[in-house]
Amino acid sequence: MTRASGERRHPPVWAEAILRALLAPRNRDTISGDLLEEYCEVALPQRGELGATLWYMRQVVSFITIAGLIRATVGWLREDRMFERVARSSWTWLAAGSLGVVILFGSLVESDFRPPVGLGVFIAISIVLTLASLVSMRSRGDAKTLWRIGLAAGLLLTLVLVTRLLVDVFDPVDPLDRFLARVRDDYSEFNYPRRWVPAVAVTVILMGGGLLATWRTGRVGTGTLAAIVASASGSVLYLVLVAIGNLLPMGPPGPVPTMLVPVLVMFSTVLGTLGALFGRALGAARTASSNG
Amino acid sequence: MAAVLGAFEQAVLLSLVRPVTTLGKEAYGRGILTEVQHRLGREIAAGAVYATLDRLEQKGLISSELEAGTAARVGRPRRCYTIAPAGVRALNDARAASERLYAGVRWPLRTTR
Repeated sequence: MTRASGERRHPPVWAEAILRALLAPRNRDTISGDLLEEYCEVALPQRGELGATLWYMRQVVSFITIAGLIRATVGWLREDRMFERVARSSWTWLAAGSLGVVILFGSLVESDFRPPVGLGVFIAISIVLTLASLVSMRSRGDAKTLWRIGLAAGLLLTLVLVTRLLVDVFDPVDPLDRFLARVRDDYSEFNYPRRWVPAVAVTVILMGGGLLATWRTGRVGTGTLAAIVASASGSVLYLVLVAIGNLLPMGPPGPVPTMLVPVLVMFSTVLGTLGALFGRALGAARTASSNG
Repeated sequence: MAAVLGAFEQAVLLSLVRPVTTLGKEAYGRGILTEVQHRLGREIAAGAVYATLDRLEQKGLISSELEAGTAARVGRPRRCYTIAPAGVRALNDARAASERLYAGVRWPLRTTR
């Protein structure tokens, strides 16, 4: 395919390779052929070579989906049927969820509840999970489920946080005792239920919200978003209650922990996704049992 | 009850029912893209149209078959689409729903203040 001048009339090879990698095998030749035609007959004459290349790249970007990215990344899942079989198996999701739980909680116990990775890594993971989950929203039904479960879990979360606060108010810990305890060699968070019990409760709520939302909608992203809604609504409501409590004549006002919101939202992306993986496994098992 | 259609899905289905552009009459992916752009009066990303075509086919509203490729596309086959009876019903339902929605409303709308 050459022009009279001998110049090549073809979109960049690398762009076409990316496009073909993103497409399902069924559509690989047909769509790349359509775009090749449009490139040669319309884009190139109208926009020139640079403009046509930019046009082609824009079209390639429009084919980026989660499934397409997985297909492009994992070469052995190229066959549609194999991809579907793996994606529909409840064992796949169960294994992914279990692996995530073992890695996260194993490393948390190992580090005595200190963050297992740096803040930068954690923020990056949260952003990727949030963006990926936003892409997965497909219908208003998904959004309704997400809000209903997210807000209910958010209320439970507030309840846990308020209970924890009240325990501290009515049975305060001497900061000096705590400091001295922390510097001892045999110190462990496990010896202080008032610290780890709420953490476990928050984890269960966020994972449960993710599980339930995904079980209902069949989408992992909805579970992640439900956990984000729960953590955001729950922590904001808690801050409001703390601020209101500070107005009451019950002694000196305590600090309003505003950092709780971003920290909890970040945690919720990971915990919600883990719960969602189990929800997807349950959903796949339910579909399999109803089909057979 | 027929499937509930979004505005973009309606545009894609309508481009199969009554195409007005020359390319659109050929009813393959590129033609439908051209037709939808013509109907909506704006540039559309190809990915959006193909994703919609896949979805409509999964819902059973359209069907497709492969045709031999031409030299312009280095022999790559074309996928030609046809609207299914369920697709026609869905379009009728969408139109009826829209008309019910606007029933009794004087056109064009004016602001009250």
